[in-house]
Amino acid sequence: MDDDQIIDAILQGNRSAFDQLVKKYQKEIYWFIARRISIDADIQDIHQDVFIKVFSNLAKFKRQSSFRTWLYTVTMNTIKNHYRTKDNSRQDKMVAIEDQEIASEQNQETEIVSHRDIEDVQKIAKSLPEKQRDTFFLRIYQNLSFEEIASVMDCALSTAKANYSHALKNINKQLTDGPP
Amino acid sequence: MNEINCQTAQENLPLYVSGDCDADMEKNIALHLESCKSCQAEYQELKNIIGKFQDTNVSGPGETYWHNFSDTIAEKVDFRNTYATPKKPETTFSLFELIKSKLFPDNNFSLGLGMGAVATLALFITIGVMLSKNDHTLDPMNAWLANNAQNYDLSRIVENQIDITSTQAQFSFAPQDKGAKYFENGILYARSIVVAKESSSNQILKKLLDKILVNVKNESLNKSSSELALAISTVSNMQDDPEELNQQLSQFENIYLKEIATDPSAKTLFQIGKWSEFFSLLLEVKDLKAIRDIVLNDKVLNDIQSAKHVSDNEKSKLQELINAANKKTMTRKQIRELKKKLKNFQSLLS
Repeated sequence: MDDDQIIDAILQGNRSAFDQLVKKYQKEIYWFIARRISIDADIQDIHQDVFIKVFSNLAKFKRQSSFRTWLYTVTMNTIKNHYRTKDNSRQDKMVAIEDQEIASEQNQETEIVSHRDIEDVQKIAKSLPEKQRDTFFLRIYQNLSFEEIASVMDCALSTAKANYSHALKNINKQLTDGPP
Repeated sequence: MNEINCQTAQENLPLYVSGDCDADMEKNIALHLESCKSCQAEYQELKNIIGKFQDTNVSGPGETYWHNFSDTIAEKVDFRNTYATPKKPETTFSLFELIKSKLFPDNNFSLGLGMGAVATLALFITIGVMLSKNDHTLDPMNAWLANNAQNYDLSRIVENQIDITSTQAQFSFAPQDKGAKYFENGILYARSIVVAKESSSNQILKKLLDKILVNVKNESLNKSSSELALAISTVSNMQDDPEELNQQLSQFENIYLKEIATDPSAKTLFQIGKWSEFFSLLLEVKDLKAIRDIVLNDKVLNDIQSAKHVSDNEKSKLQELINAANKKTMTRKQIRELKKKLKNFQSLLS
C-alpha cells in the first residue's frame, strides 16, 4: 500500500494502518529533528508534537503534495514554533553542537580524528543562515528532492537549489579560510 | 556538447556533487573536470564535505521509545474518537429513485396513474441509459458508490449529524481518491440534496443549499457537475417550497446556471427537467458554440423528439434557439447539417 492508501485506511478507523504509517516515518523524522537541534529532551518533545499534529489533522491533508513532504513541512513549522516560545538562551542552544549528537559511541575512540573533522563540518553547517542550513539538511540527510524541499520550504525550485549551493560553498569556504 | 568555463562549472559543482544536475550539465562538468585541475580540486573538497555528512549517525532513543511511540501518538490524538468507523448507509440513491420521486412526488406509485406515466417513466429510464453511455461522470461514479457504499451514509447528513462542508466529512463520505474528487465536484452535495428532498426536510435542504452557495462563492467547488444540475432541477420542481427556500434556490441558480449551460456533461442532464429554461439561458448567455452543439447533437435531438410531452413553451424556446443558431455565421457544412437536423424537428414543432 502506498501512503495515500494507508491514509485512506486510517481515516476509516484502521488502527494497524495508523501504526504502519507512524512506524514508517518515526525514525526518519526523529533523525531530522535530532540533527537540526541539540537538546535531547526537546528532540523527543518536538518529535511527538509533529506526529500529534499530523495525525490530529490528517483529514485536512489535501494531498496536494506527498504525505512525506507534508510531514516535513509540519516538522519544520513545529521546530520553529517550539523555539519561538522559548527564551533566547534556548535559541542559542538550538544551533549549538553537542557531543552527544555525534555518531555512535562505540567507534568514537578509534575514529576520534575523523569525528573531530565531522564535528567541525557540522558546526559550520549549523551556523549557516537558517534557510541554507535547512535546505542543506533536507537534501543531504533526508534525501528530499529539490522539488520536495521547495514545497517544504515554501520557495521556488531555483531558490531551493541556490540555498543548497550557497550552503555547501559556505561550508567549504569556512573550512578553508576559517570562520568569518 | 557545449564547453563550459570554470565559472559555470563551479556554480554548478554543488548540484553536481549531490547528483542534481540535469544530464547535459552533468556531461559538461564531467568533461570540464577532466581538463581543469582547479575545478577538480574544488569538486573533491565538496565531495569530501558531503561524504562527512553522510557518514555521521545521531544517537537516538532506546528501542522502548520506538516500540511505544505509535501507541503514545494514538493515545494523544484520541485515535478511537478521531477516526471513528463510519456506519453503514441507511439511504441510497439511484437514478430510478430520482425519476420515481420526480414523477410520483407523493410516493403515489400506482397503476391508477395510467399508462402515460409509465411510458414517461420508461422514457426517462431510456434517456438515463443513453446519457450514462455518453456522460463520463455517471458510470464511474455509480461504480464507485456501489463499491464504497459502506463508507458513506447520506442519512447522517439529513439527520444533520454531519457538516458536509467539513474536511472530515469529505473523507468520511469519500475516503477513496475518486470519492474525494466526486465530493469536490459537488456530486455528493447533489446526492445530499436529493436525500434531503426525499426526506421532505426543507430546513436541511435550505442548509445544504446555503453551504453549497458558500463553496461556490469561494470557488472551492467545481462548477461543472452534471449531478448538481440534476439536483437543482429536482429541487426546482418541488411544489411546496417555502418562499425563503425559493429565494435561496434562485440565488443558487443564478450562480450556477451559466456554468451549467456551457458544461457539456451537464447540459443534457439538465434538459431532462428544464428544457425551456435551459434554452432561454443559452440564448441569454449567447454561447453560440453551445447552442450549435445542442442543435447539431443527434442525441439531444433524439431525446427531445422522443419526449412527446414537450410543452408549447419549450417548443417555442427550441424554435428560438434554432433561429439563433441559424442566424449567426456558420460554415456551409454546418448550415447543411443544421438544415438536415431541422427537418427532424418538423413533427415536434408543428
